[in-house]
Amino acid sequence: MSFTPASLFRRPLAGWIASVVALLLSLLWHPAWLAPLLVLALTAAWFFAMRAEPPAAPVAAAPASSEPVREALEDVRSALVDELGHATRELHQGLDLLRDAVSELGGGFDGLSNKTALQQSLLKQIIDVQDGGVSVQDFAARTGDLLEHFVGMIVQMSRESLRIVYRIDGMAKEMDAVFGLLRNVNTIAEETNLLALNAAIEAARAGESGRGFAVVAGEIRNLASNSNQLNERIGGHVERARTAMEQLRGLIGAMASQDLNVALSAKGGIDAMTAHVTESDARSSKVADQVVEISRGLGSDVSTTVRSLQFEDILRQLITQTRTRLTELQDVTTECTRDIEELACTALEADALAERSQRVRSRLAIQREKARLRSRGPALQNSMDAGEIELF
Amino acid sequence: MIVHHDPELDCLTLQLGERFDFSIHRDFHDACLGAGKPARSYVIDLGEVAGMDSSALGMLLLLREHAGADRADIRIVNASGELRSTLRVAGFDKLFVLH
Repeated sequence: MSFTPASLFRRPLAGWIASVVALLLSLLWHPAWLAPLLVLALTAAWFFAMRAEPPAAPVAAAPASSEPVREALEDVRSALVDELGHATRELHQGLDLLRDAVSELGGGFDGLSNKTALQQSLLKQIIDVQDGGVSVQDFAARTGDLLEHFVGMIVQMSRESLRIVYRIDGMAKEMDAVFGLLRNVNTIAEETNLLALNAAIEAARAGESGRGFAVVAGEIRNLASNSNQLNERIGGHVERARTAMEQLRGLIGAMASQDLNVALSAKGGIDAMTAHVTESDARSSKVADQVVEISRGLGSDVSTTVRSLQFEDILRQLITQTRTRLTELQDVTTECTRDIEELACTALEADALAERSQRVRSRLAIQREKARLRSRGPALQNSMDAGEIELF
Repeated sequence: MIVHHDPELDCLTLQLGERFDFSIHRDFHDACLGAGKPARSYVIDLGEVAGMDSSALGMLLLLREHAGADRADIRIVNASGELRSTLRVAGFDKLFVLH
């Protein structure tokens, strides 16, 4: 029989109680006979206590009480294994979902990137067309040139008209000179008439011998009168020509006097239009630049996003690894609970006991070592930035 | 229109009235386009001119021809902003000296 401190504390309850009572009595009461009496009483109490409660049997030797432990361990094992199995399946499911989602996301972003590229090329076409074709600015400049040409033509026409007017003025002066000369001719005709009259008088005075001379004088008078009529007709024609020239002068003068204000205001309008177009061209070119910049930024964002989708690879590796761990954990749980069950419930020799517990510990140690090696392994990628995807 | 001739410099100054148009073409002709030797230089003062039409420009061109075309020394002075822009639209800033 062996007295371990635990059995000493647990089993001989009557002996302990008797000792405490004896101690209290010896402290409170001090007669001389008490000590031998107490010794006797304590001896008796301890003796009965030891007899009444036989010492507890060693654990290994009591397999009859091990059934609840076995059941409990069985429960623990099946619960753990089930849970681990569930976890593994859920992880698998999650992995599938992740793969689908990532492939859809990837497709979406690829489409986005294609559309962005298309947008960019269309924008480039628009800008090229704007740069290469006839701009509104060119149009305005040409219209301005045309207007200047038009004004120049008007001025040339005015100059030529004035030249004609000055010519007409010169001709009018000539006409005036003709008028002056015609007056002289008139005077001559009148004098001739007078002369003929005098000759007729002289002829009458001469009588019969002057008859022929009288005829000549009459003819001369007729000539003078005819000459006068002719003069008058010439004068009338010249006068009409003068009037016509005066009218012509007025017409040409009207042609020479063109209002330039219309051309001026048109020129002002074209200048304003040119300024407006220049400004709006500058603004739209700035906006186009911004749009190109945004589009480029969009492309780069999309490429970054697509690169980020590589997280799927990393996550898959992680999840696969976790699944492996879980599966291993299932095995370990099964083996270890079985060993512990045997340790707890089967009557075993001390050597076998030590061997089993050593086996459990070494199994766990192997598992720990595996985990350590795995976490150090090269398969895992730790950062998203490691990869680079070129989209364009 | 006031015409002033400086015999020392042989410079003919024409100070035009309110209107510089067809109505004064005869005076203009008599003042500087008539027969005879052209002056060495001309000054056209537009300070009082309020309205001007294309015949005024025609007269100036005839004066330029009369004064020797590219050798002519004609200065146009005191033109208002509107007149100045009219002259510029017609390209007169290249043919005359605008002050």
